[in-house]
Amino acid sequence: MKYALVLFFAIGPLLAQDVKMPADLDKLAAKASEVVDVSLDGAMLRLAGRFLSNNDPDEAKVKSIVAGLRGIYVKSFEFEKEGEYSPSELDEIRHQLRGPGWSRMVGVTSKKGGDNAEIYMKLDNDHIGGLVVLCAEPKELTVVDIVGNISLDDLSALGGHFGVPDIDTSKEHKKATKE
Amino acid sequence: MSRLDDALREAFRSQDPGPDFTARVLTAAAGARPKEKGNWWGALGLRWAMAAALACVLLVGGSIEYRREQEERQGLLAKQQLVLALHIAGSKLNHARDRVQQLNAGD
Repeated sequence: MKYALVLFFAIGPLLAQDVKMPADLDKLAAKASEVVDVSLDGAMLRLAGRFLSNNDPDEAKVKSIVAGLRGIYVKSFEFEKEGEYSPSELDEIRHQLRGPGWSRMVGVTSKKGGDNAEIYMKLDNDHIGGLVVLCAEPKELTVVDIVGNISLDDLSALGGHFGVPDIDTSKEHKKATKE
Repeated sequence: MSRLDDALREAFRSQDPGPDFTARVLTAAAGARPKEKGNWWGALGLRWAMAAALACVLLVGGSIEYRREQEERQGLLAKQQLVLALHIAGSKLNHARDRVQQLNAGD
């Protein structure tokens, strides 16, 4: 029983994160000119939520949306010049996203410009249980992992809040893959 | 009126304290000293106890305040990180959406 509890607490955060960020990704920090590394688990999101004002309509809305989330993880690397990272850096994440429940909503791959964008969603029954955005630009590599119950309507509601755009829900399952 | 005068006169009438008055006063004063000494020790103990209690209150209060400040600092940092994460998530979602729209327009 004791071991089960230890195991639960040891792997609990990993399960909450759902998608595990590859360790190799952190090595890019040495080459990057700018690094953003945000890691907010459920407890930190709840703590942040306490500092979002109920009186401010924008913050109150974000607060209600964040309440349904279990984690937000962002890694973003900006480089001085092109070719500082290999496109295969994201393969490990893509491999994880091939697992059950995950589906790729958007995948834009450009061989010419090297400007790729992918959006994955995890479906838990009828609602979205997670969202992953992979953006690989010539001088920038970004991974966004949002864990938790978030609907496209919630995302739409975030439109204009802290730069989160409106998402047209009619294009919910539109997949665009072009090489 | 004269009865009142008589009563007052009787009340304020000077009386001889007696030949042993000084001795009685000195004896009473000597007897009171040990009692005063005991009170002094008692007062000192009480002062220490009060100082210790005050120190405890200050320590607990300071600890609570320190924890509150730490939590507030962490909370504000988490809020900043949340805003940054949502900003990046939003801009990248925008980017992906723009790319899809560009492709749709190209078709």
